[in-house]
Amino acid sequence: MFYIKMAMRNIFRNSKRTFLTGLIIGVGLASLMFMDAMTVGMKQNLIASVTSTFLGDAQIHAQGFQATTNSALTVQQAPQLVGRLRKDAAVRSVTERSMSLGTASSAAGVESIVIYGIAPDTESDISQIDEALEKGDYLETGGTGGVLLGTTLADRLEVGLGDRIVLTVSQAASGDLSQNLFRVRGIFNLGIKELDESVAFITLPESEGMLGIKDGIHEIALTFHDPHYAIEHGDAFKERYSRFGNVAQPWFDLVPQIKSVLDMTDFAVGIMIVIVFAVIVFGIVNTLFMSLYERLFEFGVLRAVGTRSFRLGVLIVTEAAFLALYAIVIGIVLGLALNLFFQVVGIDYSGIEFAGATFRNRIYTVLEIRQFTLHPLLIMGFTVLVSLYPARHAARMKISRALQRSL
Amino acid sequence: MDQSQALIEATHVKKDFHTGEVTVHAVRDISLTIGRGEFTAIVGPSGSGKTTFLNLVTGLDTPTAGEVRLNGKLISGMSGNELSDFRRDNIGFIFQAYNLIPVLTVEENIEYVMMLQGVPAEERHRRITDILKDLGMENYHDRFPNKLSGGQQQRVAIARAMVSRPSLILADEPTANLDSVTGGELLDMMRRLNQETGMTFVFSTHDQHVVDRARRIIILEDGVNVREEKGKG
Repeated sequence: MFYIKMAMRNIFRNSKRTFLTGLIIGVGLASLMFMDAMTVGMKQNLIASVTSTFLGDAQIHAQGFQATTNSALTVQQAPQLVGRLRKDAAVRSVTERSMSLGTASSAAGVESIVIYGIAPDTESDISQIDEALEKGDYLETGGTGGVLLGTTLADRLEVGLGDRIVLTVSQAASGDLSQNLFRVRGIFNLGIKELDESVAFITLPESEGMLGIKDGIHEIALTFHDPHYAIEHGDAFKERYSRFGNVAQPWFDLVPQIKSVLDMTDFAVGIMIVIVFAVIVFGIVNTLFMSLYERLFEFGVLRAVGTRSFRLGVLIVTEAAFLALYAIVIGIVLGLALNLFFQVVGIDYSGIEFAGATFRNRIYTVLEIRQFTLHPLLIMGFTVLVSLYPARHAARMKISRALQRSL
Repeated sequence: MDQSQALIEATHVKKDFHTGEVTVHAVRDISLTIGRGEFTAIVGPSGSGKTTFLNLVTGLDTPTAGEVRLNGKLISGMSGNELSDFRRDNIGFIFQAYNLIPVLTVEENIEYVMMLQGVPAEERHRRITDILKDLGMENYHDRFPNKLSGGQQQRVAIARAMVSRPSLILADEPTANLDSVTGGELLDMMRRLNQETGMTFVFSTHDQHVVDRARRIIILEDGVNVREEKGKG
């Protein structure tokens, strides 16, 4: 108790220096908290940009379909599978799609495209096609003859709302060409280059009709209630639904480059954290040594009157712990203020493409418990750890040398 | 002197310091005995080896050769912790610049060594009250050192040195930072305490006031005790 009292009072002996050191460490902690919160926000934004635009949190295909895009490879036992997914407590929404390679022709030209057949009602729960319409209307369930095109594709085909285009696909079973006339019902801008320049959406029944796969689908897309579910339980999900010749894949299997980018981001942030910690650690060691050399004679007196070297070391480590505590309070206040500010204001990266995905919204900081527990604990742990060095130095000093000015 | 009455026994003590290739013989050969209850001054010019010798006597430094015994115990062979405990229980220090711990109050400064000794709290407080009263400092127990005059700080330093009831009080130029009246009062106080308690006082000093009050004067020159004189005290 005596040493705690001494350590507390020693910390505030030079209150200006203690404040400045506390501020340096506190700013370091605040920057760690901010980096963490911003990284979480950026990752969530990136994942959401990838998954909520069109992909979904996970998809199920027939085995081999993705490699070949063979229209004959439809999802096996699709109705049962969809029914099961709709009863799954982790799943928020499910939609069915067909997909085929084909062409779109207008008076101005022909473009190779991917034609998706979608169920308009359930699709709007998964993707942002309806929200991304710049002109016209979304598809209607039961509607016929309407097609949605991306802005770039519409430009290339030189078509506008109401104009006619012909979609051509190969029938699944025979390979015979199948053509249908559609009118442009809407023009969308999803912000993803591939979707905006080479995709057309029609209703699922019309697509099934053209492909000759009555009630057949090529893709089930779904979202989870918890955005982290795919990462945390992706393997269990794959195991649960990869049956009957189907393959279930969470988003990071579908776009592995995004997962790599996220891992790389974690690594880069980890490096930055190490650098910030190094700065903090040197700040602490510097302050402790300055204080130690200033009080060398005092330590000599303490040792001379019978204080064991271990107790002197304990005093210095206790002082370091109080310094860290003081700095942590400053850091948490600064970090909280910074994170709350950017949680409301955010940073505008919308429209910027990163790793093949486009940020659709501003990036907001995301506060998590560990920013207020793990980082401060690390600061405390590191401070106590590095204080062992000056503590050892003080404990091993030659008393007669420390007292040189007197005896 | 009867060996059972000897508090400090130094036998052919030497201490060399090495600075690069230069060796400084700070203490060349000192042999002396200081008995219990003495009030002794060690005097000599700067560089005569006073400081080094006292460091060796109190275990703050180790001799290059020779033996030092305090209370009959050979201190030159003790480990670091043994020396700390030995100093705690046997030696009280009074420094030239008082050197109270600035973050502790008067009471806490005095209490510190007793706390290290494991003296029960009640006994500690009784002793602090008694000694502060004895030194005329009873109204200053909760003051921090920076709120005291030099003379008052040195009184507290005396209290700190004595309260643990050591057998030896070592005072390094205790009056150097004080005016002659205050210094004289403190020396008289220490002389009185020496007579009342029988504690041994050893001074390292240049101050004639100290020399005048000492009962024994040991004169060092070039690391050797060249002679002794009987003091007037």
